[in-house]
Amino acid sequence: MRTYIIRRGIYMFIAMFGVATILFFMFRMLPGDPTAQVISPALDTATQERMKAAFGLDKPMHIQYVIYLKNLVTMEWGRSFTSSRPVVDILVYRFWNTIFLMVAGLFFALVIGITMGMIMAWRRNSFLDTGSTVGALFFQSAPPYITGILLLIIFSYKLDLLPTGGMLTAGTSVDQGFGLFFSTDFLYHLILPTVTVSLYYLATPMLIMRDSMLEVMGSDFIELAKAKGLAPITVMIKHAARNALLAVVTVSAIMVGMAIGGQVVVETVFSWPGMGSLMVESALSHDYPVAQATFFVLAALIIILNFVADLSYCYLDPRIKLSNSSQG
Amino acid sequence: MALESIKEGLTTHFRIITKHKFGTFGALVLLFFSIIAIFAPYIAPHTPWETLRTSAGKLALLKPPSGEFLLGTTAMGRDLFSQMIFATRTTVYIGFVSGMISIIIGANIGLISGFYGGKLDEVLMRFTDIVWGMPFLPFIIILISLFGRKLEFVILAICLVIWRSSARVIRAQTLAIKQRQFILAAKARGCSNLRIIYRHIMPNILPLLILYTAFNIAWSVIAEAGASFLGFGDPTNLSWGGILFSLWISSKIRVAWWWFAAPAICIILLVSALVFISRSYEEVANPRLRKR
Amino acid sequence: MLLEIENLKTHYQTAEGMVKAADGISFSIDKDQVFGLVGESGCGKSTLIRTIMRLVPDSAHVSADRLRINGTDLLPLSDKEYRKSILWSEISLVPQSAMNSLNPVYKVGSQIAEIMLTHTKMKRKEAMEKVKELFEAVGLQAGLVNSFAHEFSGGMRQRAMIAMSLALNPSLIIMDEPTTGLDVLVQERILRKLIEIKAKMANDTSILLITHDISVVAEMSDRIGVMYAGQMMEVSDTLDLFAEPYHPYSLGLKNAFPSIKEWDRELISIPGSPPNLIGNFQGCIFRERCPFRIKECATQRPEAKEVKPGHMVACIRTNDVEEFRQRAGEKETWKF
Repeated sequence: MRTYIIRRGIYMFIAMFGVATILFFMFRMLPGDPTAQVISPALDTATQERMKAAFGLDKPMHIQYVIYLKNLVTMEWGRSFTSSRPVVDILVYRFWNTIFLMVAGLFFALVIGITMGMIMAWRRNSFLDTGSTVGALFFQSAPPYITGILLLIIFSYKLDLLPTGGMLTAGTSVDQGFGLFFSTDFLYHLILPTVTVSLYYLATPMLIMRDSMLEVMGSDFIELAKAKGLAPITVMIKHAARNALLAVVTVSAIMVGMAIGGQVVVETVFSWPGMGSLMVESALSHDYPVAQATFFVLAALIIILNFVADLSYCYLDPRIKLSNSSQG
Repeated sequence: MALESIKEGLTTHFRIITKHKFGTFGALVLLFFSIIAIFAPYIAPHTPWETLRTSAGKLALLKPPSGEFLLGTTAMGRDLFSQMIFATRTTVYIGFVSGMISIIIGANIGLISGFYGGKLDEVLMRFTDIVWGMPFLPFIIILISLFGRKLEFVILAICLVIWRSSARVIRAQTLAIKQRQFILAAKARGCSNLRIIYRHIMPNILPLLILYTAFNIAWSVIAEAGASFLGFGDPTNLSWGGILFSLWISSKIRVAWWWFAAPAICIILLVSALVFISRSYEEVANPRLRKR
Repeated sequence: MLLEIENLKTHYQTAEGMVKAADGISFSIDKDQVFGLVGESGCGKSTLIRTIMRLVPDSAHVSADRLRINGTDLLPLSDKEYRKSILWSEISLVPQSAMNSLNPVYKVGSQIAEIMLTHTKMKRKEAMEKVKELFEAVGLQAGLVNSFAHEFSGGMRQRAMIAMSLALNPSLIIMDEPTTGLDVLVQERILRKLIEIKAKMANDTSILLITHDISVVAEMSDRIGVMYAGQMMEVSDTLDLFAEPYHPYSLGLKNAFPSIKEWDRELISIPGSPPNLIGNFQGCIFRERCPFRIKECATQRPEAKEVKPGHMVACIRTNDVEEFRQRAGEKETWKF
């Protein structure tokens, strides 16, 4: 098992390295002055020259590459073109906002999706089963911003039950540190975006769980479990679901990858101050240092989460755990 | 002879799709939108850009659907119906082109990687890992922001990323088929590797290929709609997402429900149609899912 | 009488028609007795097991004039009562496919302990101790309780399943093809172990041994039932069946197995294959493969006759059995 983990870890670093490299070349492929990507053209020439030297932009490409990588790793991400604030500061704030929303949304999507999938398999071909499948596919086909706007129209504009956007009511102080995330105001604003994210990501775990359960339920050990006199619920959850989950975990990794990209639109619709909306803002205003750093953080997040999914699969399936070590 | 086998092939596919109501629904919707896309200039009563006036002579701003303006008008007095028709063309075009190109890339990478194995496989798979690490929509956004808001760049960005799902799955399938007897027989006959891949292995993964083509097109449509909605679409080539973008920035969303409903419903319809079709092929590709 | 089965029928409604997987089975098993059930694949043995243990799908129609264990009527019991008082506590099962019958993600020991925890008031520690005892009784090291199914060899898994079946000291253990899939040496060892365990168990546990291997059943069982196409052809004591078989099918089976005494005897097989179990079949279900059939066999379904005390036969021509036994040994009889 250890070799498996180490190998996966190496792949992780290769992937991050690859993304960083692609990013490097993308930003330098533009026609015109490549330095415009790093130094704001708004600054006066003298400052530009100074910064050029500091960033090593007058040096050959491969040296620039090394400097770029070093800066990336040490979190020297430069300053925003638009606000001149250090990119790292901006990102840290936005990072946690996004994480919260994402975790909340995915949590419900997974819990509800897996449970529903389990029930659908147990009651195959019932109205619940077919109805849920259609509903899930339907929500999966609607990009999250459409669902989001729809929810906004119903709950916010027409019924005036929930806020129209933002993370907190305008004017609230943001200096409360992490306590912020548990205030009722925050949670109140969290509802609609979370529901939107959950609805979109519900379909995949639900359908995978259902298919996986159906496959597992035909197994011999399930029949034996019934023969042992175990209650049907125990058979379904402890024996069937536990095996069916393996398939869901692998798919969840892929899902998270898509989720991060999807955050972008959800945050825009709900004016949620997270990395997604930062991505859009910085791209629209050509604030390249911010755009580049945000992209990298998002990519790193995906890659790390994929790695975690690999690990948890390894933990859940004892057959993998021991196949790499010598057994008597 | 070839005509016979083509006819036979088409009948098989027709049967696969129409086996369930969902598949039929999907095929009909696809047909519907394709026809609109092709015949757009002949169907639309106006161009997407003209500012129109009502029969009373006033500027037709934000008018709800009526006999005169089938889907209503926008804040700039433009006919939503015409906009939707021309936007269908853009959306369908981008979706199909991106979907097709990406499945070609993905299938080939999957087949080659799975068949040859070894170092080539390692390299290709690490590269696929890297592409998997890229957040999809942000990538499109950055690309557009760097290179400009043109239709071609949207297609390019989508194609560069979407192939990753099909590549992995097709590689897995190739690995499984590679072991089968008839492949060994072909090798023994002296078939070249390329011939084995494209004449023997590929036809066997056809249901999977079609499944992922449908998915790829669906994801392309969603991606393009998302990018356009955020303002990164081509302003000269309106798409459904672009219509939603103009709605969003006009801040008139509270009042103009029709402006939201039309593009939203069409996106949902097209994507679900594609998903339903791919689900029809999923049963063929994975027999264990068939009703027992 | 421990297990009493009379006229048990299990019918499945399918798209093609009504499948009569078990059609009028009758036999009984006494306390502390090994009953061997023999028959070809598809003869209905699995259906019988599943019917007794109520593992058939809800769409199946089950009926019987009598289905009792230890005097308790089984059919009227609710599913919940069945789970609590019959399954595993009265009747347990050693299934056919030991590998697939163990959940791959849980340790083997805990899957047995689970039984104790569900049915008794034992605490986890106590249960695990009992599991270790059971393991040692079947010849497995106690430490193996913490291993997973894929770490066991075929023979070890089979022993684990036997240990599992003993967990609650049931009155009846059903063994479904206990030696199939094991190589001959392992088979021998398992059988020996089974005999040993059976002797050790002082509590009158009976065994219903299902197999298609006559030699296994000859070695282990006190009584034998011969099953064909969902119906019982002959039931008698083992020695009696081998010495004086009555039913043409039994005669045919005897020919098909090699014997050490007559090692140069040519093996004769019964031509043809088992019939389709769908729909209504007139007359004797074996007639198409029976060399001794007559006109009446096509119209009358034979009633089970007691030709000797404790020996039942379902054939209308039992009076001609002497002639049958002689002709059955000749190859030409079976060519038609």
